Amino acid sequence: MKRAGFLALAVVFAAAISVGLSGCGNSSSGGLPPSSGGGGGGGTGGSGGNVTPIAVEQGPGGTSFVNTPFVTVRVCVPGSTTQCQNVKDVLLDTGSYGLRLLSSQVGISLPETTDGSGNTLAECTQFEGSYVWGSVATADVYMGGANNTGEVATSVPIQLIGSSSIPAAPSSCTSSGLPANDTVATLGANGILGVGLFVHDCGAACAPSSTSPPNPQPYYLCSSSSCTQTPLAESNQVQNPVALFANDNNGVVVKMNSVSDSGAATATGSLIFGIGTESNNGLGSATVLTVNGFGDFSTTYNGVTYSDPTSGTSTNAGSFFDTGSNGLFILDATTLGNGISDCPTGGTSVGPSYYCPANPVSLTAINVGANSATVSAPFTIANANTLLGVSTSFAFDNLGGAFGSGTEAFDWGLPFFFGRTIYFAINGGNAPQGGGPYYAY
Amino acid sequence: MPRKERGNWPLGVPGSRWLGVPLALALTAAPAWAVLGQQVQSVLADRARVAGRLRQIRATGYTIQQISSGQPGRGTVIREYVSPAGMVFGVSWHGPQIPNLRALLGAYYSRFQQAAAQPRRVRGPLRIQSGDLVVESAGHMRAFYGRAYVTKLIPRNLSAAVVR
Repeated sequence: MKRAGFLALAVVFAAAISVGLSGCGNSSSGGLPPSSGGGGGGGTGGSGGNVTPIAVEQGPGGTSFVNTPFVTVRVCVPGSTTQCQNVKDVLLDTGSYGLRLLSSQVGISLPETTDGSGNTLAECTQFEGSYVWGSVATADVYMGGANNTGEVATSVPIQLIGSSSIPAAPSSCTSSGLPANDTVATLGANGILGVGLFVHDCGAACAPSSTSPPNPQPYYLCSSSSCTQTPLAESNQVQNPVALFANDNNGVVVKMNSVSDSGAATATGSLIFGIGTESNNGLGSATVLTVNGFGDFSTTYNGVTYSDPTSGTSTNAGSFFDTGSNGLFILDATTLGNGISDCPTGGTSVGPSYYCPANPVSLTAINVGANSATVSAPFTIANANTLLGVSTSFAFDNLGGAFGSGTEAFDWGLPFFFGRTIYFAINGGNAPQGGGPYYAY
Repeated sequence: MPRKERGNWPLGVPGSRWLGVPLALALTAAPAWAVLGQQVQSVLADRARVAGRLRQIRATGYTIQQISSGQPGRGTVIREYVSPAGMVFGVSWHGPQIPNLRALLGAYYSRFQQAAAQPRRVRGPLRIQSGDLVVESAGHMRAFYGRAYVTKLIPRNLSAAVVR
């Protein structure tokens, strides 16, 4: 097996995925020129070049998906300002790193990455309850500003989920047992924009120099008939496009407006690029919570601290802020107490993945950074069957469920973001107060 | 949870059948794909598969076979919970990738896979209860957590909470 890290990975122009450009509302074959100078929101002084709107609403996946924050991402064939497409309804995910688009929703020919032998680079990407399989391609990625051209990252490795140019996912990929969310119907979005704390989706562990690659390895080289796991240099890994912006590249700010406690049809917010780089993204009085090697911090609830010691010998989970989680997935009903219970099974109930207290319960936890900084985290859990019983509502600030009954941690999902401004400083970036990785709010 | 830690390999589990088996023989003779619901020899196969460091942690009423690989603090830890009779009644994992659950769950894998494939309204942790099988998966990219256990296999004096 050839090692990709020793090869000059090349790009080839794959056959266009057959989505009619003219018939697709989210495409624009005419293309918009990049902002003058070729990128960056620098100097815009907060006029909006570094801001892209977030919409929480019914998405392309229908009514099954709630609390999904959507953004529009503009992708172009590298170097081109005409072979471009605005892809709307991309899931904003602070729990992952890198841009992944459903190939069925991409109507331009983004060049797929190959090695010197013509093998196509592919990735098996895991999420907590699903996986996606697809090729790696490169694109110029534009976001922000009036025309989605406020910021640009050039030649970004992205994933084309469900690409038809590679064989089906191999058994080493599917043996997580998780389902593939590789269609609009199963993903509930046209893609995933991962803008969390890390630059690379795997990191040094996947590099050719690693003596202990993850098992299974996520990257593959595929011939026309089979795929083989491969190490991959970080520079070729799918990565957080924000880190590749010319400016405003040290992190993002997620600022969400409040919603009614009874739920709302829609909610809005802003994804702001950079921290402390413009007049609109200063840290202000936010408390910085630094993290361990997994990107997690600790949370104290009812006098008990739930943490992930960095010894590497613990399976205890850690806490994180994740716009890609649609609820407050925290501890378990027994540990939370105060009348919180799992939703019942059967009938029209949403089932035990969500909490169903008889009445809304307001509680407070304390988030604790690796730097020992603390910040209060008040939250409310309402009855999920009541909330989700209103089929026209898609935004909830009090939807919750269990993280797990054995791995006790706090997955602060989208409900926690409403009415708050939360900062995500990227690992290695020059964010204020010592640089990333950290969260702040 | 009271827990006494013991040293590294070689290890002996009182009452288990692989107590005196030389390591090399065990690695070749153990079943290649097995764990949950099987005898503890299967742990050795797992260790070989993930090229991990094996450590035994003894607790009251059960034993943990812990396989660690990768950089401490960033790598993978897989724990297999073994009853005094040598039966693996639970497994847990923490690391940058969700492990090969086909291998870890053994005969229970297909039931897990079928349950996990059901449409969900949650974009968040996965919680499966299928008969006596419980599987949980949570976390985020580069930091996944999970566990699985079979309720009927848990020793009578223990609760599922020990599997973590």
